[in-house]
Amino acid sequence: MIVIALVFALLYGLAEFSAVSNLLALPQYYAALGIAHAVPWPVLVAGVVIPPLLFALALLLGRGRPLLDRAILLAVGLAATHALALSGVSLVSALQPALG
Amino acid sequence: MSNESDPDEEALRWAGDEERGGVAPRRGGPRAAPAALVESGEAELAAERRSPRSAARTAATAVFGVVYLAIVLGWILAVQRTSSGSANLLVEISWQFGEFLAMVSGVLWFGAVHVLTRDRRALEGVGWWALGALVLVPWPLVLVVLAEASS
Repeated sequence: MIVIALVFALLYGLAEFSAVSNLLALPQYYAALGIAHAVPWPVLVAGVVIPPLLFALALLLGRGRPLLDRAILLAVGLAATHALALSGVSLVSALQPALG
Repeated sequence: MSNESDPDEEALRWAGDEERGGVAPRRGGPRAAPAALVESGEAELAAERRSPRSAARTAATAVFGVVYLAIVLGWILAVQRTSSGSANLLVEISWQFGEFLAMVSGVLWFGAVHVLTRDRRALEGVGWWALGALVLVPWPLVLVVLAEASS
């Protein structure tokens, strides 16, 4: 179980890494474009919070279950994390004010 | 072969059927299933009939099956419209990985709820399915459709 949890931690970490880099880079990008007031903070923060939250939830829901069930739960959480991340990206571009 | 003279019949036979005790195939007839399979299937059916919740569960499975099919199709269409916008190979690989996971997320969620709530109350499975349908809305597609509809 430790090995499975570690592998999934790495994969969730990948999503977390891009969420954090978005959180750090997007405000600077918006500032450079002169639309710093329109930084979609709730979406950016949600992106950072969701991966560890779903990882923890998947581990919590899997307590006392067989190994395969726990792996399934972690996989579902990971897929949902990435689906939500893509939704977040599309939401940010939809919210971005028109330039110029 | 006993009826080599009839080319139609011959097309429906494998050489050596008779030697192995096989019979000529029936056109349109019921397929023979292994006895063990039939028996276990009947046992499952009987068990389901005994359960008063089985009808509700079957209905819920069918309804959410359609919903999740739409979600999966939505994500398959949605990932055509997104791109990482990065020339970095590592970023591109992890982006593609994310897109793949988004496409299969509906299948995974539906299957996981189906398998993991099998022994629970039907309502519990419905709740998880409903939650998943909300979480997995393919926003990249929905937003594009909304934008096109409003313009």
